[in-house]
Amino acid sequence: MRDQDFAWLAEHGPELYREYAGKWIAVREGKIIGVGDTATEAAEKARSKAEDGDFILEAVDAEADVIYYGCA
Amino acid sequence: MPRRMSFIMAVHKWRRRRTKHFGEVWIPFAHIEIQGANGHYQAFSLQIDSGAVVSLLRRSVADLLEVDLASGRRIQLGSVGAGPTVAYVHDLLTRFADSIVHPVPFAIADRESVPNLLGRLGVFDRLQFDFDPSLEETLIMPPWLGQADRKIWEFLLDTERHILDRWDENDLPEPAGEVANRFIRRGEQLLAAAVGLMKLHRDYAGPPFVRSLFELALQFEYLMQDPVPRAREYLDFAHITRYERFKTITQSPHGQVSRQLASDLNLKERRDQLKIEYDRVHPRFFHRNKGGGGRVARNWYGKSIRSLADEVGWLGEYKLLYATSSDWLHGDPFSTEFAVPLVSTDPSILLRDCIGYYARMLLRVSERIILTAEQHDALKMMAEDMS
Repeated sequence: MRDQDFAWLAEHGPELYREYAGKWIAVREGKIIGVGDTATEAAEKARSKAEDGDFILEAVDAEADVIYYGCA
Repeated sequence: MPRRMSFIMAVHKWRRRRTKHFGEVWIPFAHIEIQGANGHYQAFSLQIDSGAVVSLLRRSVADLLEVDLASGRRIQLGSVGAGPTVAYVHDLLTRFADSIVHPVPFAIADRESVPNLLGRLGVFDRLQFDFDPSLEETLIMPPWLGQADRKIWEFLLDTERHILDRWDENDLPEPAGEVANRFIRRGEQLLAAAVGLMKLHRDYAGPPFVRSLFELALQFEYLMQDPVPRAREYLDFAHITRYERFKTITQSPHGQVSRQLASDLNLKERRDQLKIEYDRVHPRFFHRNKGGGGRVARNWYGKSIRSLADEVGWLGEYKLLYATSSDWLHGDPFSTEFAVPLVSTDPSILLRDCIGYYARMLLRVSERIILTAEQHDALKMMAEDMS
């Protein structure tokens, strides 16, 4: 199921960036079952529909051109 | 219902995204599961970033996984286009491809305005990534070599280079030198192909390579027992094969090569030239039977592979490796009962079998090339250390 959901995320990338940029989303069985500003918020909403916690969380980046590097 | 075999490998499709500066780009994503303090694994989808030294997560992931953020090692991350970011490093048990689990250091930022990234530390040094632009997907797999096999593999490559660099010192008389060169080249190609399979964790399909390397090394052993006359036989048999193949191709109505040859104005002349060479060597490879008839030998050594193995003293290996590999290769009903081959079920064993036969060939050639004692002993060990 998770593999299918991951494939669904890959397939629907352009719409996700358009509609959920900056948000966390939770996906299960090809549906977005939770949206929030934080992982906890999205997961909490998702758990009301999937108590077993079996869903994929993703933070949909608002900006794709930032390059992170190094640490000090 | 038939299905493809599933191995320890994750395949993740890339994702298309429009960017401000570069138009539409493909972004490789990975699906991982991170264990929280309560033992539960949470699935995440995040971008793979080979440029990031460490994996990065947003702050709320610490809350979700019940990780005490500030208890981690404090670091500052830099980024192009944004100021420094404070983050805390936590080693979190992470599951890849449903079964590979190991701790990965994650820098968890003190805020949400960072991307979740899968960086290098604890990831690229422990897993094999194949970014495939043809299929726009990333394969994540365990490394294909263990430490012990890596040493063997690197030593073989060093020794092979040593031998090939000194090939001209080899005093094998012609045409044995030419034939030996051909065998070594084919052995190297087969070994490289087997390694290609292993790198993709397709070692279950290794039997054809073990079988081919066995047959090659066996012929080479036979050849080197009496190099010059047998090398002549070997080269002459090419006239038999060449003429037979030419006939088959030109008589076939199918295929591009056949059509090209059919339109060749010099076809008859070429066939006649090949036939002259064929006729010249034909008597040496023609075996008469008791009824007065006969047939042309199927190979240059004029006997079955089993008889050859028996003659060279490799009959045991013939029965164990060649025969069982042949069963797999030919789809023998007993062999298809098993998802993986009866022999070479372990990539390490497959590698050592393939290396073993190639090492035997190198060892034979190296009798005429100066090797260090270490090189000679290691090559000998490889040639003998097989399944």
